[in-house]
Amino acid sequence: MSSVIWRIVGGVLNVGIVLLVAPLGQGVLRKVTARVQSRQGPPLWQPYFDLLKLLGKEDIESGETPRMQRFAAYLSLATVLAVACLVPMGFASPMNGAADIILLIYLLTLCGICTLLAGLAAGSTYSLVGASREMMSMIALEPVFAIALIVGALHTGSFRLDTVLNGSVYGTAGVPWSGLIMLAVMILSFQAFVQRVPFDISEAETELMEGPLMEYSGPKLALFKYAQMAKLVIYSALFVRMFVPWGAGFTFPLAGLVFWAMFWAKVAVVVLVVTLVAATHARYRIDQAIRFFAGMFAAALGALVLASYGY
Amino acid sequence: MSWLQNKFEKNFMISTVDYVFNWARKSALWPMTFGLACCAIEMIASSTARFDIARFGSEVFRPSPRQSDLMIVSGTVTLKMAPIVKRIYDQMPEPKWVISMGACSSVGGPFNTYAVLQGVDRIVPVDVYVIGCPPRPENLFYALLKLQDKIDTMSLAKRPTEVRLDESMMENFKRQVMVAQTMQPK
Repeated sequence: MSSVIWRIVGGVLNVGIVLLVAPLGQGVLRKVTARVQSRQGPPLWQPYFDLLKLLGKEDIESGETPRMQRFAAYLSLATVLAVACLVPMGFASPMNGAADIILLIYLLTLCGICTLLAGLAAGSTYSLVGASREMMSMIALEPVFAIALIVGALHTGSFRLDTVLNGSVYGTAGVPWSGLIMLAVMILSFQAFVQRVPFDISEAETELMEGPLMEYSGPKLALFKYAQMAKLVIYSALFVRMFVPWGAGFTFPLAGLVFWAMFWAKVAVVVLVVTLVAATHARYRIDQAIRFFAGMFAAALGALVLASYGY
Repeated sequence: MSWLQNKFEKNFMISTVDYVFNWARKSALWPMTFGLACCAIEMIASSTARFDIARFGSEVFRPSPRQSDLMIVSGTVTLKMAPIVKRIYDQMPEPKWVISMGACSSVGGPFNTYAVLQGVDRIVPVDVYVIGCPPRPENLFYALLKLQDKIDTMSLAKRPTEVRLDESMMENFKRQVMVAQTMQPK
């Protein structure tokens, strides 16, 4: 019984942390981008203002099917927050025994499907183009993250969250070739998972006018923006737990706090790297991106074969 | 928030909510991406590294009117363009503001002709006018700060930006559009 209560408390804590930290991450991203472009940039807390302002604006439902639009907006933030409950944020995952990595993969795919739904429901030309681009990149990209998790599951022989999300990709006897390949693949395609600049093809502002989000205004746009900001934090946390987990997992109070701080420092480093790449690169065309994703997918499949032979 | 308007007297709670929301609103004015003439070049320059409109929280030029709060009418409004400008304004969600940038959009500028709207305030309510031909980015920033002062006086109980279309203005506009159309043989 008490374990159920702890699960709920831990889940709420995780969601709270993500909701609090996500806009700050976006603020750091915008500030650093500005400094790279030798600008002064907005204040660090600008995204909080943006979200609050959007929440107080009029909500125009101008798409073809407003009900679907509404559903997509609520679902996107809900899915991201559900993922937040599963990911260990410094301490053990709160939903440890209640969920496994299959659910994690499923929820991460649902995030992309929300964008698809939004684009299809809006029904304007730009949003349809955005939706088709999102669909193409999703089909090419989502398996890569799933393969990274499955490689870990193969090495440890378990689908449990705490086992797999603990550097399990390196869990072989000898040199972890499959883990190293997956690390390279994930670093190269990380911008695409968090929808940042070289791969923000589905909502390219300057050519597609935000694509699927075009018809959203006010509070629902705020929900989508919030989900996108939270995605950056959550994917960074997942990346840290899967590929650079060292120093975590201690439960002694003081040491636990130190390693909690270390975890968030690592997440901050990942966010900074994402920012620097985003600030210094131009957007790829969809065909270039698909070719790139196909290469990543092939490498990931190779890693999966290696993992199944125990390398 | 339209269902909340005019339902409350001014009291402590309302003023605090006002303060927080106004703070967010004035710090995150997202302009609509469009330019009509040479003033637009100065507007674009205001987002470059030298001037950097991001310092005022307005760096996010939105491509869709559904997501923007601020319409910067930058340049000559011809009669052919006027209905489109009006339509963009109508598509923006409340609360929304308009800055009329430059002499042309404020009073027609040097173009007192059959083809030019004599001031954009004939079709949309303007909050701040900027003089200049064209105004420098600093002038635009001053207008932005003035607009922020104006937003500060906004309240859930009453909106001060309630400058709506005058019927006579609309009539005048329609007459001018008609003149323009008859001058243009089809």
